[in-house]
Amino acid sequence: MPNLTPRIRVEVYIPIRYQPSYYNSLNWVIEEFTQLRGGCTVNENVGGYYLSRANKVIDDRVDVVYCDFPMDWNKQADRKEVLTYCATLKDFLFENLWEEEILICAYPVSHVREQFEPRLNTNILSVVHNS
Amino acid sequence: METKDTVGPQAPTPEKPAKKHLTDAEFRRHLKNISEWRQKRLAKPHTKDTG
Repeated sequence: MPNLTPRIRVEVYIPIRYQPSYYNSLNWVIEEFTQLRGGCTVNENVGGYYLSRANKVIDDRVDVVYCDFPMDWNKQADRKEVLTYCATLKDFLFENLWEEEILICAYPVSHVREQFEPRLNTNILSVVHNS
Repeated sequence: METKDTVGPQAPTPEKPAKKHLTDAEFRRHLKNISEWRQKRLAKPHTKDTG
């Protein structure tokens, strides 16, 4: 029987630019998430668009890196801790990238987990029970 | 950056390297002291490009 395990997803949008600091920052976030949590996912070259002052739609592509922290959004302490973490990450990115705004999101997700060992052989259990 | 293809011995097997187990307690401890942890564990952050 599956159950749902609460997680908090932290998602970072890193603009794609030619300057090395953008590529380095992407790698740094990947390294931080992987060492901190054991893994992360990257959606590369995702379409992003904004309206310029000249009223033109500008293509501004991004890499999206995300990682699910083993925390519960419904717990205020967990929420606060994640938001503090996001603030430090944002400060770091502002120091290293030329951007007016850097988007970092945090929101609740649920992972589907098997509550019991799914491939347990019930025949063996029955034999043990009867012996 | 290392990839799974460059890490460890290049054995002729399609198996991925085993995943390191990190406990939730370790994660929370590191998150509480994130600045200190970054300095110890991560490569020194580069400086912003000048050109």
